Amino acid sequence: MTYVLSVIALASVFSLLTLALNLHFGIAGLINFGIVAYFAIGAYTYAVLTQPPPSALDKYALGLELPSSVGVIGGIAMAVLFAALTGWPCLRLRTEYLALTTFAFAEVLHSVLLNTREIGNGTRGLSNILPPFYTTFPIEDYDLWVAGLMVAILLLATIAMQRLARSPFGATLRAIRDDELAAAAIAKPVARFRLEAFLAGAALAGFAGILFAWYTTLVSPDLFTANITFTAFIALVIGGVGSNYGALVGSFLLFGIQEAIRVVPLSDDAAQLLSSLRPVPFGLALILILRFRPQGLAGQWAV
Amino acid sequence: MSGEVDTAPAAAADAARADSAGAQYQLEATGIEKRFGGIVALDGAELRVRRGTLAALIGPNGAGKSTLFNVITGVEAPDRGNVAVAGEEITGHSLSRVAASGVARTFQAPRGFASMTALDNLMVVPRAAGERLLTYLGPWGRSRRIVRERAEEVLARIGLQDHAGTRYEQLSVGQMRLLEIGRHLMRDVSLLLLDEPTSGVVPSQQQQLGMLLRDLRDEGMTILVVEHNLGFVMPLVASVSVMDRGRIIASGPPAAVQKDPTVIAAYLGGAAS
Amino acid sequence: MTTIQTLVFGLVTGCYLLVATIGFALVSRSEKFLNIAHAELISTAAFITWFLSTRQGFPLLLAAVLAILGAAVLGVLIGRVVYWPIRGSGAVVLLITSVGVVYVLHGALETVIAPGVYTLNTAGEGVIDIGGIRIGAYDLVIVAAAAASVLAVHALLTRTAMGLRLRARASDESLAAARGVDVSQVSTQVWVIAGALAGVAGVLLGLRGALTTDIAFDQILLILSVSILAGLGSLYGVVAAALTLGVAMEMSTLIIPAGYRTAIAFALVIVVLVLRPEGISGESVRARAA
Repeated sequence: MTYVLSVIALASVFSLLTLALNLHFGIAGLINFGIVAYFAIGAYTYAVLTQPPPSALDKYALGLELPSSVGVIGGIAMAVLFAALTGWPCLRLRTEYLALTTFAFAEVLHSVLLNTREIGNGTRGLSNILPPFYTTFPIEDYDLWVAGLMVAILLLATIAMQRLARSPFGATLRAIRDDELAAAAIAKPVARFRLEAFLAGAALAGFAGILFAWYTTLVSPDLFTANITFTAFIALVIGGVGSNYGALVGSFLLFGIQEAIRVVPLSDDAAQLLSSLRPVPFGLALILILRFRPQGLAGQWAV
Repeated sequence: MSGEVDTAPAAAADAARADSAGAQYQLEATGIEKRFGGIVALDGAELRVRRGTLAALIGPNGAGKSTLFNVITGVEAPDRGNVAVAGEEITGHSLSRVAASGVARTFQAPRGFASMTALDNLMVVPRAAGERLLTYLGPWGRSRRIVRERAEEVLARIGLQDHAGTRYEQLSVGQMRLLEIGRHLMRDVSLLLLDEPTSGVVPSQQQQLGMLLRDLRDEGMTILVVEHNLGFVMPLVASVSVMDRGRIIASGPPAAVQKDPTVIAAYLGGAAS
Repeated sequence: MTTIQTLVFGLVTGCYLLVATIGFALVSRSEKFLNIAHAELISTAAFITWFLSTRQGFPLLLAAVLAILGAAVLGVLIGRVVYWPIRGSGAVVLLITSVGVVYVLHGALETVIAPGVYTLNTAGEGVIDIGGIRIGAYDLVIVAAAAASVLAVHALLTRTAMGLRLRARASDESLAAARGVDVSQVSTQVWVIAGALAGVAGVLLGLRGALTTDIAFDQILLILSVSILAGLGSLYGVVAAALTLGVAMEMSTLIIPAGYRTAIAFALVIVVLVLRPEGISGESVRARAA
């Protein structure tokens, strides 16, 4: 039971990230190959702000032990700040270049987190994060409450994103995505809209990172690799680019399959083999969907 | 050589005064030079269009007409020269900024928002409540209803009322072009620049387009049309400017321009299409 | 480690980067998208070489040739089966599809070859000493391979119909077809050549050092860096860009801890993209409106 709850909780957190990606890519048409960066920054900032100061064994420099709420606000703020600083050079560029620059920034961040012990404690990461509401949620059902919290947050976020997609803001973003020149010709300030979408998505991704840190109570560079970005893309494409529900469907499907496989009892060798094999069906799904059903399972608009 | 545009003999007196008072001209492009690498696209092009008139810009292929449009509307920045709309300088402004100054332009290949219906294409245009990040959570239902009504009116005006729910990609080229104009009718425009609006359009729709342009002109809009289809444009406009190899070589009423030997030479000796 | 020695290492690295990137650049120019899976081809070839030479006892040269052939075959297979049918869907779809190909190839490789560190049998490699500068025999092979690749690509570009088409800047499919060039055939040829070049790079990678099943990720980062420096779509710029980046990366280790090497490459990429997105070559890159 606990296991199912943990899958639900993780899938919910990941769905938040995929929702953010849908805002960037599905609605605004921005290929963000570095979305894991905001995810990581949210998580790490939360950790640094809320963890206790370093003990003799820790290599990290800062632990402010501030309350959770400050951590959340700080985490989101840092993600948005990073997006603002790095987005400005990226957003002026055309598709592939935008993909590459966002990717580049995420890799630089990863390298910094890995190599600069003072910030993130290197490969060991920061593991003194307190899980959320540890004193408020009843201990016996803690897992249930946490899963419930994640799902509730996901529902709220989905409602907010749906409203955004349906609003004039969403419509203008889609117009810019469809034809930037035509949008400019009707006097839409294209750069400003793109930036707003970019920052909003970064905030959501950063928030997802914070929830991830809550859940795992550990942040380390291995957890925040490009693999996360690409898995989000796969989930979004399978579910349906441009559709919020698609983001959810894709994420839960991916996680569900992943975890279902893990549950099957296997010898160690077989398990290792299966784990290595796992990317193959995901890659195939991506290729096949883009070729034969580009709108994904739940979407209406093809990439 | 400058391209002054006169509508009637009575305006000749005005024209003399108009040279110094730029307000008579809705569009004034002077001394425009533009190079792409080693190629000179615009070589001192000058173009003026009086307010509330229908004018045409014609010329052989490769003369630089679309480039001039691009420079005027900010898609390209000129190497030299000035562009002013209703007396206000817009040289070097970006496309969206130029558009915000009341300039509307269509493109050689019609452009539109492929993922939306015809009606949605119009509804997205006006600046509305709920259009920005900080306001999208707020109420925008009523504002949207008002916009929808306006969009339906414009749709009827351009003759596409039966296609409100048709997806953009399923429209014919002619319908796409009408929709492109319709988009601009959803906002405040005083100058309409059309880039080959009849290309790929069937004759019946061309007629529709011509009537629409005349109506708009009667309502005070200034319109400049780039066209190859002389049959469409000559009877329609009050004045024509002819472009060849990056400069304006003749301008005046259609009848006069058609007989101008320089113009004839340019068309005969100019680049084959 | 003297500065000159580091410079020489940098040039060797640059030569490797050149071979690794030139195939990628060919595809980028011809098929008009970034084939991220190129690096997986490189690592596949590296592991074929390793497998045949260390596990099957083949002579290194034979293993290398077979690996190059294998990469060429795999490359053209993927190019025709996966990418060609969706060539009209736009660079974005192709880019994301290539991510899918990466996942498939990487998963397959890691299943067949368990995660770990592997090395070719390079014992007995001679080392040459030129005035205090040491160069391994395999380093010379890398330099030779780079020179050969550049000459081969140059010959192809200047003497074949395929090359003509690739060199034309504003080339779109309908125009080329009108000129009598079989676009489909050119595409196939490009995939074969790019695959073969990836194969060569894979062999060189094995000669350079240890292999891991994850090595493709680092390689694609470097390839992208070189490509951006050169200007995406530029072929001759790749030479200058590869050598520059190789030298920059190695020289930077004199001042900065080695762990940051990739970050240096990417920081350079970002700087280039911000200041001069066209790279060394100059093709237009910015979005057009406002």
